[in-house]
Amino acid sequence: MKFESQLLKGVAPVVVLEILSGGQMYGYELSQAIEQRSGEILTLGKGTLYPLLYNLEAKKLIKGKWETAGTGRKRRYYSITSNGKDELAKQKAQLKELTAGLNLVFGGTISLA
Amino acid sequence: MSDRKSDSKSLPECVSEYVRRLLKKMRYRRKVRDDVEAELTAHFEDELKDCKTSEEKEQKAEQLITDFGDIKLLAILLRRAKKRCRPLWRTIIARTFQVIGILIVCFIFYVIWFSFGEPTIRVDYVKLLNRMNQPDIREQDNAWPHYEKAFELYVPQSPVVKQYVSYRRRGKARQDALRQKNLLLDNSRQIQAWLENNKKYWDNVNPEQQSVVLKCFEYDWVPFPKIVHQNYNDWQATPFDRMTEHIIRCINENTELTEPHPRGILPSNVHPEFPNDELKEWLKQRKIPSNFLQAVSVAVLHEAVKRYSNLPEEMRGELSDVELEYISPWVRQNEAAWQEFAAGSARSYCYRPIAHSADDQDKSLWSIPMPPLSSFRDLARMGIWHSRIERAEGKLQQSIDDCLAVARSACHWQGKGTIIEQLVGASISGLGHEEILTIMADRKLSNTELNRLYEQLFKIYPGDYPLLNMEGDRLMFMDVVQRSFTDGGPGGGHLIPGTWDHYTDLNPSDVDETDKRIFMPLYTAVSMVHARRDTTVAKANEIYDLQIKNAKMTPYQRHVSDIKTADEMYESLQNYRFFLLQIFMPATARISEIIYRGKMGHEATKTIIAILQWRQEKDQYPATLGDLVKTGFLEELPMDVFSDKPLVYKKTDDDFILYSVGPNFVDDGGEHGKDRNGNFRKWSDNGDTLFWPVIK
Repeated sequence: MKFESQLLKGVAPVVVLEILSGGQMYGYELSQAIEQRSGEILTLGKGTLYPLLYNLEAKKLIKGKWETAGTGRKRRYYSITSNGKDELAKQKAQLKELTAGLNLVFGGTISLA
Repeated sequence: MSDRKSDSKSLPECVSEYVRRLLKKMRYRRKVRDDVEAELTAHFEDELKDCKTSEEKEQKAEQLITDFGDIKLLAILLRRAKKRCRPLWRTIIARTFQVIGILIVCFIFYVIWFSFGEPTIRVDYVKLLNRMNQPDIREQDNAWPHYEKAFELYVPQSPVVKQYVSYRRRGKARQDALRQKNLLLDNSRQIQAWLENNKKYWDNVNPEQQSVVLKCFEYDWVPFPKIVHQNYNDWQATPFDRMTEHIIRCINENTELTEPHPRGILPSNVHPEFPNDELKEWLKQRKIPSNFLQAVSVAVLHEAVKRYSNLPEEMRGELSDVELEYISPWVRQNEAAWQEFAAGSARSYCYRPIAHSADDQDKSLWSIPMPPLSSFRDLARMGIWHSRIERAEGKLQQSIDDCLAVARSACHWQGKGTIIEQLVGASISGLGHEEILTIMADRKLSNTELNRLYEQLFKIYPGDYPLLNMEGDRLMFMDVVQRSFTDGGPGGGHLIPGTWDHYTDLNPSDVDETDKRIFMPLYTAVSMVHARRDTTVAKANEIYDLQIKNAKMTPYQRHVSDIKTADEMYESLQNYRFFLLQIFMPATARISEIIYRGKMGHEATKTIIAILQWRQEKDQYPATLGDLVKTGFLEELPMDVFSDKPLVYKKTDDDFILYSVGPNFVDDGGEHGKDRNGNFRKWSDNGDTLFWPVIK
């Protein structure tokens, strides 16, 4: 299922922060994780992923550092910062409220874990 | 950075090309682009790692590239995002450079706009000045055609005549002549003995060659044949006075006579009548007189004794025979010029229309040549010598008339025109009046002669004595402004680089148009900081108005008042903002004082005539100057502009003194001012200025 880009654009930062809150990841890994965790419902375009990561890094919500993976390859790993965690909590709270509102409209069929 | 780069050789060519183009379009710092390249390459490698065949890899790579989307859009998004990532200090530096860059671009545009401004000529100041000066008189009453004719007829002085003429004036020439005179007098006995012993050498020179040598002396050069390898090769020379001193030194030291060292080389601009050709002919024909050095030295000493031994010590007074011998021929040569000059002086007005010649590029007032003021001054001085020669020949009345002609001619340059013209007018007026005083001191004039003299002097300035007039200079400055500023825009216009430099000495005249470009950045910078047109004109008018107001105040009034002088105003101007004013506007306080001195000289001369008339009629001098006014000998009291009181008059045993307290504003009891050598100096600030008795 493909979402309207504007709709996805609004939630993409929260999704990235949520996934990184589970541990550091590099770009490819992150894009795979988003697809897997969303049951392939959310697919972040590759052309969107890296600008999004750099924007989150500019806002100091995540930070990136170069590391050598077990395979010997160099990767830029991104991890969530404390600011990122605060922002994630705030965004999740707002989404909850949004979901509650939407439930009232749609008759209680939407839930946010 | 390079260590972070992944090995992209395993990637399909389309991916490498995509990444390369993406980074190129990103247009950002290299370090950041390297990071992005490494990250994207790693991403592609991860995506393609499971592909078994190269075809599969190619296909998936194409798919991925499509997923990444429009390359240009992605490059923009990446650049924006990375820009946001940079630290604050880097952002500040980047912004600062951006601002500086924008300012530089704006400045370049401003400079281009500034440099290409053009002046707009609205007012014909030449016409305006002509209209201002043109009197409503008949052409035959105009002195200018006579003066022009006199300039054409004038014969300049030869160096010897110049020396004699200069001798009667304060200055180096007089001091040099007096030194020569003393040197000859102090050594007269030795000189006579030496001349007797060596006379034979000069006598052996044939008369024709003697006259050539003597002709050289007239131009103040003593010639010597130059000897190279025992052959005469060319001529060299030494100044006459230096040779005289050298010969006397040799005589006193009892050493063999040698050529002076260093010997001069005949200057290339030596007078056209200098006998160069004759001297060269001697070389060609190998006819150099034997013992030439001794022979010429005899001639030099004879000439020096003749020239200097009988010079009078006094600066004024009767002419010596030797002066008459040298100066009379020159004055006679100028008889026709003098008659024209005198005829011009008798005219009521002098109007010289000013105009540009057809080939003049610059049509400004500034570029119009000044009248030949130095020729005019030379003619006036010649007139004074004409008067002295007349006097020596017993023609007293003609002598007085010559002085009156000189004094009358001065008024043609006073109270109008440029400041320079007015200064020359004041100087010539002073010449005429001083000579009249000298005549009155040397000769006893009859009552009739005194009466006539007074009337003639009165007629020169029937109204007030003309004071400094600044209007001509104001017009000249306004014309410079008109031609150097743009017209309109902020501040009424700006100074245009390169338009004003030929009015100033900033651009030497020998710099050609190509080299002038080197100065252009300087001119542009100067023009950019200069005040705008409206401000410049307002400031100029303020200063001119103040100068005109101050010029009407006597030096004493200026001395005691707290009024700001124009000179003080100049000093308070910011050099860089008003440099045009600093260059063009003269310091007039001193000029105004010089004009006032002329006024006093005129009034003092009339007063002295009145006193001498009183003396002739009543056989005694008047008790006060007021008596002269009361009895109608004088129309009003002569005022001292340095005290704002009448000139100081005191009776002495058998004479009187009349003086101004002078530029120190203090009455020194009639003790005249002196120069550094203790000699009388008129208008000195260390004493009074005596009009009578005439200091000799």
